[in-house]
Amino acid sequence: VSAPPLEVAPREILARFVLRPGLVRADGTLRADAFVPFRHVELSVTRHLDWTAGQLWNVGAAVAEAQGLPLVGRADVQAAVFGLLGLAVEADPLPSNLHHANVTGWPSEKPAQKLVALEVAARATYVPFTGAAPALGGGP
Amino acid sequence: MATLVERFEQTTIEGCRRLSREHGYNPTYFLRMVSEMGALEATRALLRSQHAQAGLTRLWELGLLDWSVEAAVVSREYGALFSPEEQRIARQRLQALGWSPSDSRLELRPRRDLLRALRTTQEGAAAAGWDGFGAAPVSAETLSAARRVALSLPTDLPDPTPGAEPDGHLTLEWYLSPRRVVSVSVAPGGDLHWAALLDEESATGSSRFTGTVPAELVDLVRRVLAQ
Repeated sequence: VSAPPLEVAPREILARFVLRPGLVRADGTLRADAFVPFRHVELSVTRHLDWTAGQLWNVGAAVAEAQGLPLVGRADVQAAVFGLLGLAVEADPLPSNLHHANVTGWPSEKPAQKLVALEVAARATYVPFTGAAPALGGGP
Repeated sequence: MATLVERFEQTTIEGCRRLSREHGYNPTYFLRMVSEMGALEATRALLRSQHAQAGLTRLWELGLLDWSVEAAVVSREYGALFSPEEQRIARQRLQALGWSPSDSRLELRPRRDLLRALRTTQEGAAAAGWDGFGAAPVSAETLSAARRVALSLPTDLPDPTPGAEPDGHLTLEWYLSPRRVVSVSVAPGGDLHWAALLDEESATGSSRFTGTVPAELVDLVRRVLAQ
């Protein structure tokens, strides 16, 4: 398994796994609540890069299983969206997820955080998880 | 023959038992007060309390305001046990929940569904890490603050959809589309933080909730929802 590039390109698609059904509206759009950062004031995401959907879902399923929560789906956002909003995306490969990255540079004030989260949510694409993750085959 | 005070005591205790038996709501705090000081003094203590009336709100959610001690305080049957000031407080609390003084009937306002949804949201986020990413728990204090906000919304505004944020805040969202949306965060102490998208415009704000939803926020919701 080759190491992913450390620089996150603006065209890359980033996935934020959704583990709570309440974060998805009835029309299939995402609430801003899914993107509000907390504690470390950074948002944990997974870079698509060359992974297949199955490999991505494997990571999501592992995250969900570790937390004892169901995997509901994922929010896909282009890295450029975060850049346009004044945020940065920093590669942060983990042993369990080489494609892991953090979205950093969030404003410290809550209303400003919410506004950024609304903007991200408005540009995100929700992809529901419709079945069991395929067997591990090259994911993390 | 039982005195009026004794009848009030019996009615109150039996009402609490029925609440538990028939509706699954056990007003333990109030029952403990009743066992310590009797129903009459417990009711007077409740009326003197400045704290949020969680029990009364719960009865409202259940559609059982007429089972509240406040309703008994203003009733013909037991009103004589209480001072005019105590009756005024009880009536004021009931009126805040939709009680109509003109015909003395107890009416429910449409926020009942919102209050229930807030409770469900808080219960689903009451444990640390509820979002799978280390979220802070949403406390009962935050729920209480959000309820107060919900009860203070102008009646012409539609119910927002509740949610929770990783920092333990509850949210109230009015949504037309991804770019016409208002999200309000309610913090444990009652601080409000909001952000909104109005097509290409945006707005943010913060305010401490002191019993009235800020006019600026109400106006923002109306603008976002305006077609």
